[in-house]
Amino acid sequence: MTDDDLDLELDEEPVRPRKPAPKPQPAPTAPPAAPAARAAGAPPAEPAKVAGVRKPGIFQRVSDQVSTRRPTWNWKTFLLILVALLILVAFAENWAPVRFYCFGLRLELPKAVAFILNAAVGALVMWFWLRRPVGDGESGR
Amino acid sequence: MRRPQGAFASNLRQRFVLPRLLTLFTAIPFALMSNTWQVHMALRVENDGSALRQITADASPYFRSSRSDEGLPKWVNDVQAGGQWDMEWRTDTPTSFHYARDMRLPSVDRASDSGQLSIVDVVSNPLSLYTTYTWHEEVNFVYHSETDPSAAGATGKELIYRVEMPGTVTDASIEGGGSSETEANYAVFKVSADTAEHAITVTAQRLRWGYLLLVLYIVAFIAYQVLTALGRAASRRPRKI
Repeated sequence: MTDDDLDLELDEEPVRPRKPAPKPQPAPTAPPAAPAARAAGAPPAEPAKVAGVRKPGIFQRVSDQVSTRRPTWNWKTFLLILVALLILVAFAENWAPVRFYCFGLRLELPKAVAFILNAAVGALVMWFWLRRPVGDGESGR
Repeated sequence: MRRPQGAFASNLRQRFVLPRLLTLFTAIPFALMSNTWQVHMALRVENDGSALRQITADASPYFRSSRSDEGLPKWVNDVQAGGQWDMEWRTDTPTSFHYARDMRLPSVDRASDSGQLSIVDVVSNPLSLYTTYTWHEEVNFVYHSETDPSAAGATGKELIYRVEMPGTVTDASIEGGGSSETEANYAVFKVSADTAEHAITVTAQRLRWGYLLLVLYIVAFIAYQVLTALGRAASRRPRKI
């Protein structure tokens, strides 16, 4: 009686990679053998080269990187992309131009760009305000 | 003479505090129609409810003026179109005088007696794929004498009014005399000046791509999670030996 007669699905089981066996730690008291061999006049050991193995091309390296670094679509990435989409849609919906008057100049900007400019100007002012040298009276001393 | 404080406060409030009431009808003095070769008016409605109005007129150089209160500039500036005219352009040639002005209206979707923009968006109708914009406006000619209508009819004077909408125009109509043509996202009306009152209506639809994009993304994520959970459950199921 063989496996085929039993109709077992042994070949369809997913093959899981085995965990590498733990390497035995070298004994701390064991003396290194290389200095002794070098002292005896032996040539230095070189890494072994496998004949016939080609270096992977650039496309294969890129595809390997992409396949190994592929982000998982979990709740965190979902929320991040959702927030990015919401900002994109809000910007696109507010792309209608608005008119500015400044020192005799008349400018027309999309509303979303004007919003970013306003926020940037406010952040710049706060940055300068926080960078200013603090006097003794303000520092509390 | 001292100005009463109440009038000053009222004036201040009207200027700075209270929003200006938008009169969304257009009143065109007949002098503009009778003394010019062509009058074009344009309205571009944005998807957020703001709008840009433009008016251009071509006339004989006889009506040119560097001042805004006489000649062709005065007639153009007397056109009431919902706000104060803002920028102006002049092109002066030996044979013609071209004068144009524009204004940007911050929101034309507020309620008004004579006309308004109504927007049926996601909040109003969440199940539709399209946002619908409907623009309704009254266009009136202000006659200066009783013979003006017959004179306009005899000379065939008409205002060319182009309304550009934020989506594809599905319907355009005019009441009171005139014709309309639609093309992609705008409608062009030829408004006859021999009738005082006209009413135009333009309806347009725009695909809610942003809303659909968000919905598709959320549905795709839910489907992905369900399929992943099913696959995980199938792989954990014990197999018969």
